Amino acid sequence: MSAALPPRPRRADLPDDELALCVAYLDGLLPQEQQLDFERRLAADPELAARVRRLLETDELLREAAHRTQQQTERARRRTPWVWAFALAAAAGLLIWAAASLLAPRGEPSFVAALAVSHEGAREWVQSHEQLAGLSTAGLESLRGGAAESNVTPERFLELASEVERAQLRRSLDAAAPAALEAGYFVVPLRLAERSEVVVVALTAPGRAERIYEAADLAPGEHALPAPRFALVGEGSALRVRFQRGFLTPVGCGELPVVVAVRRAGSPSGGATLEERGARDSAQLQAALRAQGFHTRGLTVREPR
Amino acid sequence: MSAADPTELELWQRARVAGPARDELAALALATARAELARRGAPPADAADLAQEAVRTLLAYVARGEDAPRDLGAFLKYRAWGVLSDYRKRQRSKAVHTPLQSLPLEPADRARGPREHAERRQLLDALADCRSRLSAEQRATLELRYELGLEGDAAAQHLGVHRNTIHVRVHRALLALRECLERKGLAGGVDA
Repeated sequence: MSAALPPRPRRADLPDDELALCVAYLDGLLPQEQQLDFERRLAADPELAARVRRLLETDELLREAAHRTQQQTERARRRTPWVWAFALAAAAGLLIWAAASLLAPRGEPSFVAALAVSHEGAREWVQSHEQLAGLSTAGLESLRGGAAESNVTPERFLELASEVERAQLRRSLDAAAPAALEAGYFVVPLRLAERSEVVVVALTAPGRAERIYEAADLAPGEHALPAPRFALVGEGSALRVRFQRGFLTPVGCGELPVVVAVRRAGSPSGGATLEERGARDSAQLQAALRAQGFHTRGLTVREPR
Repeated sequence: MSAADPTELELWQRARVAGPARDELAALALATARAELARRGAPPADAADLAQEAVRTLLAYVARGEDAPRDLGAFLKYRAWGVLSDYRKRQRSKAVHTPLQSLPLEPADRARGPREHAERRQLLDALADCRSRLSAEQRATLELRYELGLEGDAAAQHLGVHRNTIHVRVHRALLALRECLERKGLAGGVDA
């Protein structure tokens, strides 16, 4: 923050078209060729580059400020109806709670969570599934400069890869997969019986629990968290697949305790509690999440040796 | 403007066709993009894909026969900025259709510890003060852009002016804010 400031860019100002061009670049509005040409200009003109960097940093700061304000507003909005509705709902709520306590099934919550291996790159993931052997499509070859010929469209590749991934998820979930796994990257297969709020929390160090995934309302069915392995990006001739690696096992962590927490969608939310953030082990973390109304499952990911 | 460094120029020219030079340039671009994306706060879950996007578009640009940039290292860094701008644009357009309830509860916060949190808070408070000192026209433009999510054409339509006019106002307002922060002894960003 108090670091020496870079030299101030010239104020004998640029023409308006140039000023507008800088903002269009920041906003991602330039066609790709024009964008790269502009970047080449930046590489040749440190004064212009310093100006754009200052714009970029200020833009990021304003977006951060707006995001914080929006979150504060949203938190307040979520709490307020409870304050007003509480008195009216209390009697009815007590009756419903009593009935639900008598009728609800006991024991396991209505979800199943497991772990599955992912990979750093698309190629490794594809190679680990023989059904996809030999397939090549736009997006898979990005690091090879498009050297390999595509032999399947991105849409078809996505269909096939999704099918393979669904089968992998189902196997993990049906086999009551072990709660521990060795992987550099991993995904969390999840089966939900009803619409649910889902949180995945990783204990990166004792006293330091971080929510690595949050969804306020997930549909019933099977999911791969944080997202399916492949998605389509781009349009027309630029359409291609994009690989999504999953969660990273932090380097040097040894073992990473992970807790999957699920509760009915629409439950009142106040974000992570101090007890949750400060949990020192998986048991404490699960207790903190249960105190918020979640059902939990503890898992462990081991860093590959 | 001076010419490109001869070594970089040679690498650039040899990278126009597949081979070791292209692989070397790709590796260099990947490392630069990863570092720059991390510095710029790209979401870790997407950073690897964005870095690959930077490499892919760079190699396509080289293969088209474009001239070498004057400073290859700087150019690779700005390539990362470009893909990050595209990514943020896509995220913003998605957000229009995203229910507010599904927004992440924690801010995209670059602060790492209590001291950094306090400094970040101080910076944001200073920003709010600087913003209140802008002209009414600039404040209105920034409010449309950051609080209401109206940029470019949408903001231009709202205010009945040309898109370039909006961009010029945004440019001048951002620079004015940055200078105000500097006068308070606070830089607007995290790096030099």
